[in-house]
Amino acid sequence: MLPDFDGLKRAFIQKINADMQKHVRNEPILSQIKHYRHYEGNQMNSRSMDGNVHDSNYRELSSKFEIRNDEVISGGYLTYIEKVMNTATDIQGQEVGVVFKTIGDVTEKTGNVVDGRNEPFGPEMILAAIDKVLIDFDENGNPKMPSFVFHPSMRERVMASKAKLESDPEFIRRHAEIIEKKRKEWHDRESNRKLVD
Amino acid sequence: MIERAIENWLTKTNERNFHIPFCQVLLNSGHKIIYISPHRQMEQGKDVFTIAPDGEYCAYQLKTGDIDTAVWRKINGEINELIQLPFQHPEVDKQKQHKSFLVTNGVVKDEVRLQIRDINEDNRTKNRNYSHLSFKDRDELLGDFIDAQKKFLPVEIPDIKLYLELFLSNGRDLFPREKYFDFLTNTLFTAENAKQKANFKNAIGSSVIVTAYLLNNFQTAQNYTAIIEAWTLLYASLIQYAKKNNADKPVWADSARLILSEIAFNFEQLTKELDERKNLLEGVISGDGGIVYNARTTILLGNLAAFENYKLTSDTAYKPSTKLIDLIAKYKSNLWFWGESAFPLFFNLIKFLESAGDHAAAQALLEEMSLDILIGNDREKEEGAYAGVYNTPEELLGRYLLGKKELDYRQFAGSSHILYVLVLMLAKRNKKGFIAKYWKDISWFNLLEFVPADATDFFAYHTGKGSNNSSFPNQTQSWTALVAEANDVSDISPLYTEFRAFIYLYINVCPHRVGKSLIKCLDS
Repeated sequence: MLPDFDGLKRAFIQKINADMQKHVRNEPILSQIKHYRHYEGNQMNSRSMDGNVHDSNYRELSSKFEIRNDEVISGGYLTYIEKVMNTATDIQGQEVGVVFKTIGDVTEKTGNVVDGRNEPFGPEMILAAIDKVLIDFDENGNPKMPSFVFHPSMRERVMASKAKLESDPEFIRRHAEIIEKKRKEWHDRESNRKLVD
Repeated sequence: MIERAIENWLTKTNERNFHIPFCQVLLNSGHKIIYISPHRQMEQGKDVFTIAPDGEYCAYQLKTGDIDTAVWRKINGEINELIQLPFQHPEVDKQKQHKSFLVTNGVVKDEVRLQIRDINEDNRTKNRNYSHLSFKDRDELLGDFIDAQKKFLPVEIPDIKLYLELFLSNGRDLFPREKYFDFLTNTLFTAENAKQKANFKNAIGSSVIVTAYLLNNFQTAQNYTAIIEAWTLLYASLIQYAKKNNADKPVWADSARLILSEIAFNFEQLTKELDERKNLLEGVISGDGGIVYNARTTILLGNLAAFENYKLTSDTAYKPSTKLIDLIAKYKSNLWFWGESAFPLFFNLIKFLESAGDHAAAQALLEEMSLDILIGNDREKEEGAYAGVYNTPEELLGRYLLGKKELDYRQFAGSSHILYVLVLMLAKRNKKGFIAKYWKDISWFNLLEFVPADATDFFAYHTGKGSNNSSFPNQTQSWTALVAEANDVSDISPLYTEFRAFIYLYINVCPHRVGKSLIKCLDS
């Protein structure tokens, strides 16, 4: 063999793998989701706080890239980083897809779906969605509102609905009512966290 | 534990890798080695030919693994050559019969032992004038190797740790030069072992054997440059030990020759590998290419050039390799001066190109390197100065690939270990215009040089005794005086002259040993 910097290259691969994972998790939605590393096993089972059980298997997310010898020789490690990061972006997209598919599967199974009844999107649907989810509160009593994810094509309608929710007294009132209801539910949940005989 | 490590190495290695330690064991028992097959292709069935202390001729054929009937049938022709053909060599009397030995790191099976006995008996009763065949297999070899080592095995915990670290090194990586040097000086080449002549000689013999198995992982990976570095360091350490203790040449010269033969063999293997390659990529692709590729190219070509310079110096009839000339032309654009520790590699390339008659290419490399230092290490430089002779390419590559920031590059601005050496090389080549143009810049440089307190420590990888000198060039410099200084060889150490050929190889492994007087010797 020719002289090589094997130790250095191994350290480089470790660094790039760590950078790649950081890059994948830097996506706005994925960055809000806690990641755990599983060290063994071949399936997952999770039970949510509202008692729903979800079984799932691991799914491989992968992406390929090709790099020619002449690209490696001329570009060196920078070419490799560029290719790996493009792959990371691809995996990022796949992971977001998996997250939405999983949410879709679970909500369909649990019935936790807001039926738009063929009505155009509006503030009513946002309120209905808030009403459907669990909301926690911080130590000052402020709600920890969930994130809403919309397709970019809905941007204008979403912004208009948001503006209406924040300005229309009727929607403000109904929103406050839902939050109060959620606060009560949260209190009930929290007060259940105790040891009894 | 270490005996187990030796056993583990012996049973797994191939005949090529136990070749040298086996020869050393023969030297230890008083044999004079007449011949070692240089390409490991047997001559007349003989890998090694010796004269035993009792004057008997001994011929050896080395094999790997168990020898059962099936293997025996395969090697039968070679065995016949071993026992039937006389050895042709000026030092050998053809009329005198030799003894033959089949040597393997496996086991000679019972059925083969019986056949060997029958063959010897048959040859004797039928008065065939064939040599008697004996065999030496794993257990006997292991005993020989352990006996040769026993006294010199590390006993202190830090030395055992060092030994095991070396033995378990990543064979695909660069050779751990400093660790290996420390191991040699802590365990073998000690002041205690130098007190008695027998111990001194055995320590030297032991160093050859131990190096062979410490290199196991590098041999498995066929990491030729790492192996060459190891043997080069051993040769240097051996010279240092011998010279420091005023040892007579016969005490160490045979072992030194063995080491040089191993260096030559690995260079041949490296050259063969290069013949089969379309490019110089190596190992995992991640992180390769670019500056890593360029560093590899520089190390490779600089080492091949050093071996050419070694051969050109040792043998005046030797002609420069056209293959290397072509390789340099092909990969010239990938040569990379990463810092001052690359200087010896470039120096060797320059000397080789000059020997091959390509003075223009040599001059271009010399001037480019000089400008790199003049511009790159300008005293005002805040970032990106060329690192010094002590900084390895791996250290510098780590800065790029891993973002390491440990090395403060500002320390190198305005100073250089090699600038004045370059100036003297330029003066010797009558490049007055170049020097005149840049003398103002040159005069600002702090010139560094390490001078070991004991001259023999030139061959030590590092030493605790010596002076780190620094000085500035004359602000006004006479060209005549500069040329005179470049051509003055009166200050050259006799050690440099005695080992001049080898030093071309050595400076690639110990770039921090480069200095004015040394380069004047090699450049003369």
